[in-house]
Amino acid sequence: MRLTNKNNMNLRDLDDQQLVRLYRKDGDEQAFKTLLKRHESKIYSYIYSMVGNGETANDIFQETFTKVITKMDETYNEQGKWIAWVMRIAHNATIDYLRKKKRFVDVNSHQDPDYDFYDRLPDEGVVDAQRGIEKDEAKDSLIKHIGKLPKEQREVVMLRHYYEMSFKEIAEITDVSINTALGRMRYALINLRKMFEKENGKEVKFAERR
Amino acid sequence: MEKKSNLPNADDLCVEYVLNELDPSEVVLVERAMEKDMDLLIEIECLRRTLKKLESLPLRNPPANIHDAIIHHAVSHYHDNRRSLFPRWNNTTAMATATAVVFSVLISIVNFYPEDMELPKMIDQSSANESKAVNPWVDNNNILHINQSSQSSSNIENISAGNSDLQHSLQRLKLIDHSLPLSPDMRDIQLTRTSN
Repeated sequence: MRLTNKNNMNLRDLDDQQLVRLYRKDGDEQAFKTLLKRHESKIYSYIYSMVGNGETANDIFQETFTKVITKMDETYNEQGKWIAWVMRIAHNATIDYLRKKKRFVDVNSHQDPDYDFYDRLPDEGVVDAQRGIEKDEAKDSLIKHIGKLPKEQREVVMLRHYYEMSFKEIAEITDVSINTALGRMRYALINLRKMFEKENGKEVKFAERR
Repeated sequence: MEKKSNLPNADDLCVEYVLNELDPSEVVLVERAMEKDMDLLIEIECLRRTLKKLESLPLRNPPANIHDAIIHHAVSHYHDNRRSLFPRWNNTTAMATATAVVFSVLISIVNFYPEDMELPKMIDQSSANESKAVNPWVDNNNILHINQSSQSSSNIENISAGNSDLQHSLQRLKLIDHSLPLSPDMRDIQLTRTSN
């Protein structure tokens, strides 16, 4: 069974592409473990921040990696960044889930064009999401505010924050133009600022200007 | 307060500036505009502070059982894939196949090698026959030249012994006593037709 790394080379020093190659070619379990360990918390945090529920995040995370493992030979081109490819799968799985959930919740909803599913997320969900993540008050409030952002803005914030992705990469993953991705980031920051200022009881001065 | 409209596309530039997404020339442009425009400076500072808060966003790890399940799936998928690529290749079949191949090779050698050895002999004989084929020709003096060795001429006589017509024809030929300056191979038999 050739699943242990024979060499004493430090797998942590290898980049993603090299680890992927080791796994694909030799079935190197350690290489795959290193790859997963390197990215799992970011991917999981992204999914968790999008769905706001631990159980659902677990399911989507597992589904994402099931696809990663089974589709890697067919659809992953080693020229591209592995993590960008994985994030696209995670993003699509998350969006699929949110669409299904929105459809389910909105069956009898009104026709308000400004209506957003996230406005109707039950508070328990947000509280639930906060509870396990961090007890620190500032972090809780940050998570709560991010949970209130429209999902398009939230995904850009998360992709940027967790993966330091360029807006070109974010635009590709979310299937929008770079300007749209930038605009979403800008509105996300403005909205968050408003929320923090509101929370601190300060007057929102600049966010209302346009 | 002065409007920041002096800067073209100011909104996007502000965000790109705090996110370090601008090229150096645009950075200079924004920084010059900030010096002149207090609102722009405050706005950029607010965006920067908000962005700074995002840095405290915690990371969350997936549960250990899910991590392990994924690793297990990765390993089993790799093996399944290999098995599907080489479905019949387990140790027993590999040994059986190797044995069969060795036996086949041995049997081939035993059965076909002697024939292979005889083949060159046959080739030699046929090529010799070809090279010794009778090639007669008649010159201007009605002399029939048979470009053949003495052994071949005796062969012709042997053949003609069973054939009366050929024997009769041969009797009508007489051997000339002078030899032409021909090659040694051609000099063996030189026959000419009788005048009648």
